Amino acid sequence: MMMALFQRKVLVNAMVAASLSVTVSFAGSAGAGVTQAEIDGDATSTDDVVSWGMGQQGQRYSPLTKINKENVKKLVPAWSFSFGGEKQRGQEAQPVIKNGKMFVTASYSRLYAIDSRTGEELWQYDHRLPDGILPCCDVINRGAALYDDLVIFGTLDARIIALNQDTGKVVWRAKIDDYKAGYSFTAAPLIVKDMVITGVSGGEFGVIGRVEARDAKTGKLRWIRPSIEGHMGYIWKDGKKTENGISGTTNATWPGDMWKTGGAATWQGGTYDHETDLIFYGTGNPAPWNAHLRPGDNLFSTSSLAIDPDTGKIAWHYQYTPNDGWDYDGVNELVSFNSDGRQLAGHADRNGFFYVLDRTSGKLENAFPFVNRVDWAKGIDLKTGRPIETGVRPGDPAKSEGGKKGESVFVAPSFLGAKNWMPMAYSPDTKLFYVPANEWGMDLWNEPVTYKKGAAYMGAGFTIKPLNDDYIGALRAVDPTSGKIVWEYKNNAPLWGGVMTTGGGLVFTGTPEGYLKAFDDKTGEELWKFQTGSGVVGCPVTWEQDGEQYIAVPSGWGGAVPLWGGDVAKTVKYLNQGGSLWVFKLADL
Amino acid sequence: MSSLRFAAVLLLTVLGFQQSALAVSSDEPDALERVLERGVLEVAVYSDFPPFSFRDDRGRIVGIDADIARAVAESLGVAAALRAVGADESMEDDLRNNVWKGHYLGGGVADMMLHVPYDPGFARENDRAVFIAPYSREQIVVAIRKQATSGHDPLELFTREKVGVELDTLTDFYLLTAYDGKIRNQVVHFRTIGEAVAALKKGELSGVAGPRSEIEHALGERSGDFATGPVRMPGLRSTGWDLGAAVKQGNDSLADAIDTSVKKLRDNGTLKEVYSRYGVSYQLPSRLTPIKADTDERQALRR
Repeated sequence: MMMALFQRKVLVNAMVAASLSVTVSFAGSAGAGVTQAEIDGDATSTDDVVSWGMGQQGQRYSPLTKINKENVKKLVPAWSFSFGGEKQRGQEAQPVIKNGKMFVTASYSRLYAIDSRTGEELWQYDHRLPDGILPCCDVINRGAALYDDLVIFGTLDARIIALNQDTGKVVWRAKIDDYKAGYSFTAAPLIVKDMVITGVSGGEFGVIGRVEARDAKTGKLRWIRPSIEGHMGYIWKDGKKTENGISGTTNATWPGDMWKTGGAATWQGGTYDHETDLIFYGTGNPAPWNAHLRPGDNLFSTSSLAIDPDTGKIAWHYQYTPNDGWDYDGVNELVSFNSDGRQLAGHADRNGFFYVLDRTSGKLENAFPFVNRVDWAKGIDLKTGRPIETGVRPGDPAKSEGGKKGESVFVAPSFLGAKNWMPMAYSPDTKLFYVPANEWGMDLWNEPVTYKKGAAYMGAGFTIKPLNDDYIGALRAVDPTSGKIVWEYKNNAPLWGGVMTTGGGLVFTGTPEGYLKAFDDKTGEELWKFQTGSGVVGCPVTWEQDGEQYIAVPSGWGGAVPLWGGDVAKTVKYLNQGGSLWVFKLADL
Repeated sequence: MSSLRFAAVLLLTVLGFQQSALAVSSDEPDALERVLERGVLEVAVYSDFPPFSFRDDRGRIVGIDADIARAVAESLGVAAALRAVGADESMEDDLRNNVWKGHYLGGGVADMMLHVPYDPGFARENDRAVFIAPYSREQIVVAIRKQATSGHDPLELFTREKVGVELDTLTDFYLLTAYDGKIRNQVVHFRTIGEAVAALKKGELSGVAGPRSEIEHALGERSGDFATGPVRMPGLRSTGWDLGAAVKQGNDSLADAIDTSVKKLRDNGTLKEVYSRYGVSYQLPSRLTPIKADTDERQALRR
């Protein structure tokens, strides 16, 4: 019955069979799958990419040097692959590569297995989406995880599916939640201690964020950790669901029963630091949108949570925007890095500040703006770890005079964030973070009478506006110690793709205008670009194969900007959609 | 596609609403012609939304809006095909998804959508749809256990006793801030009015606040045990709103046909009958006059 709900296309031909036999011999022991040790060591291994973030610490750094500042000009396409069909829209995935096979997800919950040498398709899995899903923010998927002989990914109807890497056959599947209640899943799963770690996506009211761990081999739940205080966590002991303590303290930072529906969706993927053995997961904004209705910090919204993978308990938390009133989700990734023997982590928030935390304790070490204009706070108090607010908050619609449109406030950054979902990179060589930032603000006002589901409603109106005439996007090299911007590259359209840096002294990222670009990691000089035919909002990766270094990136314009962009949408109006994967290597000449 | 040029012809169409009169001198069939040719009027209604549109034991979509849709279709001489749609974040989104553009996941639009606000201000801001066929007025009311009511202002009562609301609604937001926040800690949130009223019946709450139709329907046979009525809600511009239908801008002949049909259903008592079928008292819309179409100039600005 369930099988009939899903369509699968498996293509096997003689060529593919031949290359499979070759890769088995490369792998050493026949049939050896991806191990947890390989995943934890992904950042230093160069012949594969087996995790989200090119290493689950999230640095997106490869030590490979074969492609470097001197020769990057000779980078040419090795092959290109079309996701096919009439389905296009945003392609935000990061590919993973192992044993000569590349696995990449595409819009509308599709997954492809491709021969990483030839670009030929091995198999394709099209998840059949039910009618009536209402995803908030395009039909994207950010990537798959590898574990053993499985490739695991999430779907728009909030399922998680594990397929056999060789055959594309479904090995297990699990329901994360009910898509009819507004849940979906678009992030790339993490693999931690033989468990699959996921969050939940869903902008709907009443959704409660949570982080879940499942047995990676069977999909059976191991623990659940809610991201709003007052909610009970659970752990499975000998197959039995057991209470595992509530998150935080009930009603400590929420009035009434509002914690029961408090939001804080964990819709972006997390990172895992094998050194401190902590999972870092970001949380979204609190609900409802009107901050005046929920006095208090509203924990654990707009925070990074550090979760112990063995116990499923919160080891520490850091909240970026207490009592958020601007829709500044805190879901952006927390990237582990070491500096002078200290275990730190960096986070570039929607709210415009870059935070450096001690990742063993969550203590704030440094915080500074990484965009030119931040209106809502003057800075972050390093002693208390709290923002010094300026008072630029939207008014309370309940207090508006005579039901008129409330006064409009202009505030930067916009709710799409000084940095959105697109992951930054960190180079241990330069000790710099490379942050895909956007310079935009928003007009915010209250509409005392709007309508929702046919009923009068108090809503908020907004228009996103660029801050500069000549650019919105800015790729910035950020020094986490000094807080200085070392260099920047300005881009006309907002940046929406992931960043990667390499031992060859290069920084790669894509642009909505269709280019994959390479920059000098020290100066920001643009050294190479290639037009992929549609906007690049995916995440580039690099690996070594048959003695050569390769670079791959998905291409296909979409995501939240064209849906939400307001005035900004004008800068991207003429961009064509697409759906393909590009792979590059140095020209043989 | 704009049929503004044929305004005069269309007016005739409406006056003599008969199949034979529909041979308008247009190259393409207009929306009404297409509906009549297909023999089906596709109507978007909200899913899982009692008493307006919900599934009965046999999976059939029933309710006030469902019955109105079928009655309108019948008067046009076609069958009704109901499209149960989820509510998006705002009414603007719902109109885009179901009336004038279609959701980006595909599926196209319906011929009309019910349970749409009939409000000139809202219509001005949403000029890609035409707002027609006012059919009732909805109002925020409070239902209170009878023994709890004596001599109290209901809102004052809720500074001490629990009141149930549907999450993320005007009533919810109002009670969270009313009385300077003194009600806030007594507000209990439910996903639906049905769930809130179930808790009220069990004695877990002193009252429920929300739209009259939903509360009356949920109270059902127990309505005698509760006092249900509007309360003063200082600060709110209005505690009621009118409901009507929307069709895509430009589909004037279809809009006029539906408008005419609903007026007839209102005048001949069918609407009142439909409401009472679901245990809901019927209230006439506060506005029955047409909402004036936008000027050409304004439409031009939007494109």
